[in-house]
Amino acid sequence: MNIKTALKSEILNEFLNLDYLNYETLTEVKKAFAKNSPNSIKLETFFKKEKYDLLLKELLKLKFKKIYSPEICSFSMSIISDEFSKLIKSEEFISFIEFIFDKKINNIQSESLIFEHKDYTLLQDNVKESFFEINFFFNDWKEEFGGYFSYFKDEELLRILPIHNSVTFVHLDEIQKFVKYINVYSGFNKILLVNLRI
Amino acid sequence: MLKDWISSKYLANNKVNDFNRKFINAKPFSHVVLKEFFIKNKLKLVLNALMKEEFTEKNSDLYQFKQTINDIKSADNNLLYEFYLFFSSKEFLDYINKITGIKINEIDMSGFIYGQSDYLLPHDDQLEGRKIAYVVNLSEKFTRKDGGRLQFFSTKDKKPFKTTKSYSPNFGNLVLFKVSDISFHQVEEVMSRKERISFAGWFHEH
Repeated sequence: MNIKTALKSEILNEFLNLDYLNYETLTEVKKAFAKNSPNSIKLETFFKKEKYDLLLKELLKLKFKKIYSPEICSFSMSIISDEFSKLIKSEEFISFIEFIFDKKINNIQSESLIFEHKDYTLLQDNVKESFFEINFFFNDWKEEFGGYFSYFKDEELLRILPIHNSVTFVHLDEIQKFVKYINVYSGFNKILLVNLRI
Repeated sequence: MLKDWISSKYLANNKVNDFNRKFINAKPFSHVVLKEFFIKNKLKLVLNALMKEEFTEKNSDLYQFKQTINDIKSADNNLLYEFYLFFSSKEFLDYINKITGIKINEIDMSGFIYGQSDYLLPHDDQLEGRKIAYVVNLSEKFTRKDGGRLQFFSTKDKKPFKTTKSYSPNFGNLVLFKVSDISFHQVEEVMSRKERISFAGWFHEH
């Protein structure tokens, strides 16, 4: 689908902050993504306020399951809500992502995730994959809690802290990611997000 | 030399055989915790000396703690160096060999401080030459609420499954465990404002 047609579509206008539906603005986003090393961009106030509130409400209704492989990870996982699914399965949104990544998309894996006190993911030896990742965050976060997303290749290249209603696009090309152990300072705070892997 | 550093109750010959049986039969992998192993007053002086050493913050996906910049073998402080000499002496290595049944001929030793929110996540310690891992606890008694426990994992298909043994640090304890492809362990996060201070490292065979 042509990006200009997609930007005028009902569904994108229903979900997204109108600023990101401006072709010139989105072209700047695309350029910034390609220029950053690693290829990445963070967009704040991504959804329209009412839509964000609804997506958050739906996210909180999901049933999460604890995933614990001590030498790999600890977090809770669920499917994504129907409301979220409606967006990411739409031709228009796929066209929106394709435009930013400058890449044809065949398949999207999606999951809802919660990271809370004692959760983490670890870097794994000899993993060399190339994929794109999109994270939609639903809460604010402090670095002193741990829990930041660290993108790593010999050294840390990029660190992302959750900000509510923000989305990050990252190309992991021989880059690994870990989520820093969430420590006691986090109290009852949790990181809520929807992760897409392409 | 042993009697200068080790509590006399640990030096009787039959004791060593008991500990050897305990070490070998321990689950989920060979280990033993020797409580109040060191002569208390002497170890307190060593602790004071250690706290004057320079530490650096270590931070990765797997851990967060402070470690002495240099191995204790290059410590300038006389008492610290004496402790290192004792720990690496032929006499002490023979003693550890009797408890573990494992051949060793070399050690390394660092000092560690885990403050509130510091931790070490699950890993197996395997590296060429590492035979036995050890911890000398130097902090006063930790309760369960303080965190900081050394925890051992049972394994399924050689992967860590769940923690089945947890040991809270207590001053003067010596923990020994055999390094293997199933020796998965972690240091639980320190939850309180206490500091978990220790010497730790490995007995090697090269």
